[in-house]
Amino acid sequence: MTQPVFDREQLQGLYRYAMVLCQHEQNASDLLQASLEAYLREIRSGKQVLNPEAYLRTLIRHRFIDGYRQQQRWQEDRFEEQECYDISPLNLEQLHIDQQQLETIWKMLCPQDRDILYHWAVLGYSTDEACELLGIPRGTFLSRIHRLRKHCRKIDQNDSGTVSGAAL
Amino acid sequence: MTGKPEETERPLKQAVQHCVHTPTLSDQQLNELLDLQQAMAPESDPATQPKSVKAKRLTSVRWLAATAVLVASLATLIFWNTPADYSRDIALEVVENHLKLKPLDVATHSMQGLRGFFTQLDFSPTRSNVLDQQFSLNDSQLLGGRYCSVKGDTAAQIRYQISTGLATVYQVDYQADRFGYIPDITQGEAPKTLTAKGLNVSMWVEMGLLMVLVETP
Repeated sequence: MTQPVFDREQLQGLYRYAMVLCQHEQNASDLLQASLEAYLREIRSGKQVLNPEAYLRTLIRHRFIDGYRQQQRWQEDRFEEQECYDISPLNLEQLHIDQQQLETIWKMLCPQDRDILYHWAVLGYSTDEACELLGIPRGTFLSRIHRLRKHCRKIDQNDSGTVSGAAL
Repeated sequence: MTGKPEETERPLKQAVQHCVHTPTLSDQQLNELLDLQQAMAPESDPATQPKSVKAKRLTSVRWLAATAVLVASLATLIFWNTPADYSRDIALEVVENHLKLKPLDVATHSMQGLRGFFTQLDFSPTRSNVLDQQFSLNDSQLLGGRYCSVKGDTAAQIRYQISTGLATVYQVDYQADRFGYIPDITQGEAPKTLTAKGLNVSMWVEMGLLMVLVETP
């Protein structure tokens, strides 16, 4: 009996990544299984992989993009410097958020945003590294964080009954 | 979402990690994925092995082949750099000359006389200290000489009268690649001795000349 390439802990981690993208348990499970099958087929056909976990994560991401591009759930737009966003000192390490609030907005975030946050918070990449790895321009990422902060602000204001538009 | 934490807030990183780590696969789903890996694992049958395994084997074979080539090259190098041993061939050739003696070209009792005769050689016949000291052969026993050849090179055959009959000495310009390794007495080495067709043969290099003595035991 051969040793499986991915043990239980790794499979759980990969499932969580699929969940980050899908936000649907059954879809995430299917996505992981389909990607794992694709990975194993590639290995059987002679593919040499140095880091199986990272490679399977990439397969999951590509499969997710392929599957959802037709549904236009994967935004291809780029928010470059012309986009008006707040680039005031952005240090994610210093940002704080109410856990309940994040869980509320987590599903509303677009998959790309969750993808970056996952690479930053769970895999330990810097935001620059995550942007480079995921092929997302830094400006796009900044604009998304800006929108995220704006989103949080709206929730705060709605909760407190104030009119939206106040500065963070 | 602020830079200044309130009581209910936590760092964004921790909050994200908490969101991400909440969902988990059930044991059944995990087992299915583990079974899937087992089912699609590369087979041990060489015919169905994945290319990665084959590639590893191929790499090993290449390493073996490279090692074999290296060893062969080293062996060849050592072989070519190790002087061949032609002493047996030389012994048989000179013994043949000794047994089928031909008339002397020059009869003389002195080395001076021999040198005067052997003008066609590209070396000068030389009095050997080894002959004198180890084999007690000196000019008084000298009978004369004639041209001959050793391994195709023109040589001088010099005859001596000894108590048991005749002794012949062959002198030829020594070339290691042609005559192989022969002990050099100037390097402190002792003459090589062997027996061929019932005769004692001794050979050595002295003053740049190959000298071979054949005598009846």
